[in-house]
Amino acid sequence: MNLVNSTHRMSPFLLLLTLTVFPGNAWAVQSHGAPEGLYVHQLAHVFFTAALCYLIWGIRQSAFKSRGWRFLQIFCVFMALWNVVAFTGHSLASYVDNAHFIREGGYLTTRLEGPFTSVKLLFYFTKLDHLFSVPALLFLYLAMKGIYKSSCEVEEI
Amino acid sequence: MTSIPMLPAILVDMVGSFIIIILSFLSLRYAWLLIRKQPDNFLWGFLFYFCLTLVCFSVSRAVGHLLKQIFLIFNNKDQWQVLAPYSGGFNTLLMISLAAVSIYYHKGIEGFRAIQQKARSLKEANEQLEVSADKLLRLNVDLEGIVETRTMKLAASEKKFRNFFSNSKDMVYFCNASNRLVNMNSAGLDMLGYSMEEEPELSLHQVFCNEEDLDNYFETIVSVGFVEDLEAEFVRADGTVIYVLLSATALFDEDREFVGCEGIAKDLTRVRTMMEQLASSEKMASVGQMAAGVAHEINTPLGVILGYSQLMMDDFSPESEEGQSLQVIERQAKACRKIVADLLKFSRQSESARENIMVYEVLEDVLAVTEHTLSMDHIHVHRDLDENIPTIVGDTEKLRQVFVNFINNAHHAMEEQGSGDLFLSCHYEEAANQVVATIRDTGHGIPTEVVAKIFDPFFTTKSVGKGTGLGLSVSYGIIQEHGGTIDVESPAKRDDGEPKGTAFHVRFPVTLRESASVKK
Amino acid sequence: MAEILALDDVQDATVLIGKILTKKGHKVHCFTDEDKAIAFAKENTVDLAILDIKLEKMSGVEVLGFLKEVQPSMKAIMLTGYPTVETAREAISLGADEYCVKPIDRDELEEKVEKVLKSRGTKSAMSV
Repeated sequence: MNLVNSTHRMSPFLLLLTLTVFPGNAWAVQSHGAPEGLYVHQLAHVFFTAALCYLIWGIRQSAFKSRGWRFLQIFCVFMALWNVVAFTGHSLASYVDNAHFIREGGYLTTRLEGPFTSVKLLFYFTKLDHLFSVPALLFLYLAMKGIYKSSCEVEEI
Repeated sequence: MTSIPMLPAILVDMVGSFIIIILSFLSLRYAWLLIRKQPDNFLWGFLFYFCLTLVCFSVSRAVGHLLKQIFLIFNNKDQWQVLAPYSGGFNTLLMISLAAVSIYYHKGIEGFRAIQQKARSLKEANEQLEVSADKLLRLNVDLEGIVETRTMKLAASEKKFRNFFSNSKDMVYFCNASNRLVNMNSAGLDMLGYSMEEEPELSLHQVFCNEEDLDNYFETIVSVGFVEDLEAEFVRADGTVIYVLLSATALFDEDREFVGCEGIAKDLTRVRTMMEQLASSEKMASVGQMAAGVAHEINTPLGVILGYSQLMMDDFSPESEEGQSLQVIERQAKACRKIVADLLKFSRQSESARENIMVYEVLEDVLAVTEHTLSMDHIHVHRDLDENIPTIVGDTEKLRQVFVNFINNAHHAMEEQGSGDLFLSCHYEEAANQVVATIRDTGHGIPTEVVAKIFDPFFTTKSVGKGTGLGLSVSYGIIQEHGGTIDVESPAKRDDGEPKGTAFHVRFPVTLRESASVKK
Repeated sequence: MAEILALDDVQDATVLIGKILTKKGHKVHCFTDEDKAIAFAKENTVDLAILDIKLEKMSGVEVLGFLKEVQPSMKAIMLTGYPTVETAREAISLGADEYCVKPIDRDELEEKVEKVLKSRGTKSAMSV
């Protein structure tokens, strides 16, 4: 896998990207209505989650012994969870509009108003998605470090 | 609680984003290190692209969130609204990319593993091959060493046997199925009178003298497989015949087919000659014994005849017929007596005197007695007597007898011619430590076919009554007693002109002086 | 004129000796058998014995021995066809006075007989 290959793969997306840079000239081949962006995003989350699951399974299949690979699996778990949280958050955003927020001072003083339904609480929770993504990235870092260290000692694979 | 502050969420968002950026870059760094270490490794490649894409995604998302919060803090909601779709779009894109990269993992790793496996087994096979090659090389070197050693041993063995073959003083030969001689050693060629350079192509037919001998040899060798101590006659290059003792073995190939024979032959000629000489000397000895016996027996009746004839002579006058007849009888009886006396002398194992003798003195003595008669027949005597010779030990009387005999023979050989020359010489041969006396005449010589027999007892070329044929035999015996030899040369070489006549060379070994005369 | 004993295994030879010496005036007794000769010597006086060395039963030298036993003063002449120093010595040691080689020459025999008989009492030098 090299850069050429991945660029090659990404080319349809790049194409899509260039098209969206110029929003003024909406030369859409097909009309993409407003919710399409959200749907695509959500689908991406799902796809990502599935890919992560596939990756975990793949890692377990390849049965690497070092600690690094364990960490990588944990990373995948956390990342998958984060995906779920983000997906939920995006879905719930439509249920919580500006009416539910009180702002007394600046932006930083914004408060979520009660009464607190489970939806509202869940929404608040999803805003804390970094609680999942940071550990995930931490484990990724540990994984990479671990893998690197073990490759220095002995030849993996 | 009526409301929850969003501030914690905002803070978490901002701080978290920041941490994410850092962590992702750190992870990417390790991935990059790995791929730098092993560019070929699919796993590191995967991890690198995964991290790279993740970095992009994390950065995009983190930057997006940070910007959102900053804009909202500074009340730039509209600007955020403009930016938001782009951020979201990028995030989507990158998530999909990341997912896509992840998907490659399983199959990729499988393929990579398979290749790795193949590579490993190839490496192992290569290693094994190398080990085998190494072994082979060593074996080869060893083999060379082994071959060399074996060759050396073989060469040494070959040399040993070849040397034995070449150096053997007996004939060693190989011949093929058609009885052609394929190999013969130098002793063999010598024996047959061929030189090494000739490399003659010989077959046994040419070598064997008698056809039956060869047939016998061949039959025996083929049927029995060998022939042992076969006496045969071989013919040399010059036609002379030699006696050999033959032992040979047949050679067979794997199919038990006769392919040739190998053998050795010993020259028996000398042995045979010796045996013949021995036989003849035994014969002579028995003749001698017989002679002694006969002589004894004859002496008595002889004496009676002689005595009675003498007695009767008293009764008749010498002039009368009876008287004459009786004288004849007496004379002949006396002649018989002489013959018998000579015979007894010949057969006698008699005592010899041992004195220190100067050969030239003996010759002088003998000449003193015979010279007169010689000159009467016009025979000139030539002396070449060296007085500076060492003494020899022997019996003077007997030696005188010998030389007288030689001179008498020489005299008779020159008689018919009416004149002749007699050469007597004696001198010392240092190399052989011998005193050599030579008596040479210019008479009619001795024919070749007779020369071998002259020393035989009773052999004479003289007419009946003129000689007993014992002279040379007795002389021979006497010289032998003295440890010497007699050589006959006929015709004799001489300094002036063609060889003529006969020469007898008598050789005496020079030994230590005798201190006094001792009777054996 | 002496008493002579002649011994030879060949009849003619001993008779010959007898004839020769009888002509010279001696009395000769001829024998071919050793025992008879010895027996005779025991009974009669013998001045001279002429003995052949080679006899049938024993050697002439042995016979000489026996005769000398009986008559020590008897002279003796030995006859032989084969003169060797050993037999000569032996003969002398047993008392022979002379030695004659066969075949006998008449003159030689007569001479020797005279010489031996003359030298009675003393031993004469031997001449072979």
